[in-house]
Amino acid sequence: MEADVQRFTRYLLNGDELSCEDMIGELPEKENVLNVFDLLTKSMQHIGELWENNEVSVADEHLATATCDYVLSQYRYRFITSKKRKETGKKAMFLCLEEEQHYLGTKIIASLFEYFGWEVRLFGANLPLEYAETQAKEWKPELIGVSVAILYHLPKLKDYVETLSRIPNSPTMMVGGRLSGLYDLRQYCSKDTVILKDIAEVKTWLEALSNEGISDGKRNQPSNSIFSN
Amino acid sequence: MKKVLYPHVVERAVDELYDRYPNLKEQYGEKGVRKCREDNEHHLRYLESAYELDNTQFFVDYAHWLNGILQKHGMTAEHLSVNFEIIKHVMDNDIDAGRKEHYEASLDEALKALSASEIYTSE
Repeated sequence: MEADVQRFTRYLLNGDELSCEDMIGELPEKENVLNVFDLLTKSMQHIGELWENNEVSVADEHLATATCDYVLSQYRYRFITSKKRKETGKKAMFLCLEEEQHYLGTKIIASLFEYFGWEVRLFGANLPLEYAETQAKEWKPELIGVSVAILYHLPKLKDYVETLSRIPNSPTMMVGGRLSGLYDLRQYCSKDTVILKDIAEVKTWLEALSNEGISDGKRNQPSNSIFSN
Repeated sequence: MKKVLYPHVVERAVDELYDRYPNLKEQYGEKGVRKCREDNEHHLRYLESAYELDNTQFFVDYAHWLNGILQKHGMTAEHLSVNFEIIKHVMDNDIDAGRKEHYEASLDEALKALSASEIYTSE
């Protein structure tokens, strides 16, 4: 995996979409979405570390992000949305807090939900709460995923969770992003908020939900350890 | 557009830092002044976040993270520590008392952590 990350990182930094796609196409488990998403995530995290070490510039990072975004869209189309999936009939929307620009994680998680048969709306970076609320009231998703990566956006999280939990169809709130892996965000969420640290936890949650089902139109609060944080 | 918190505190901190280290101007030029201003705007944003979240550890973690980055850019922990001392010094009564007290607590804890990490590095 480490060698794959190094190679994929190099392609991303060169803006070399074709090599990225070729590499994914050559992976023995290219249809294992978790493996592919893990490769994308680890490569982008590695690029973040390279920036911290003054080995790449902000421009390099932006090129890598744009390239990764394109590759992810292509992968999503080829291996997820163009394939017939068993639909759950459930809807989920994903967004980043106001001013939060780190949206790739939400795009990856949104794609994972699509893989599990959810209908998804992805709002990307920087969605002010008033627009999120209006959209949620109109579209009535069963789940709203909110991502936060930068600490100085965290004070807004509580408002988002409180306001969006209160909309009439009482959606499940899910919180993730870089900060959820670093800190215990429970005190900034409601007691029912599902806080997940990484994509593997999201996949486990989705699998548990598929197995348990959703009764009476209400989501089950999962009971295993990953939801106890 | 990101709102700059306490711009006069930022300006005063930058001025005082350049008074303290006049060679910074020769070394990094106008671009350096701009970066220094941006850094101080960030310090204020993180101080405010630590205050809003009522957790000084958030600022300490930021200081550690930033110190690692600055060292890769040829700065020392001393530069950051002096910068934090200067912010403490130039904060005025435009910042309300409770907030200012929290900012000071965050800065003090970050200074303690930076000095501990400096000793650790030099050993």
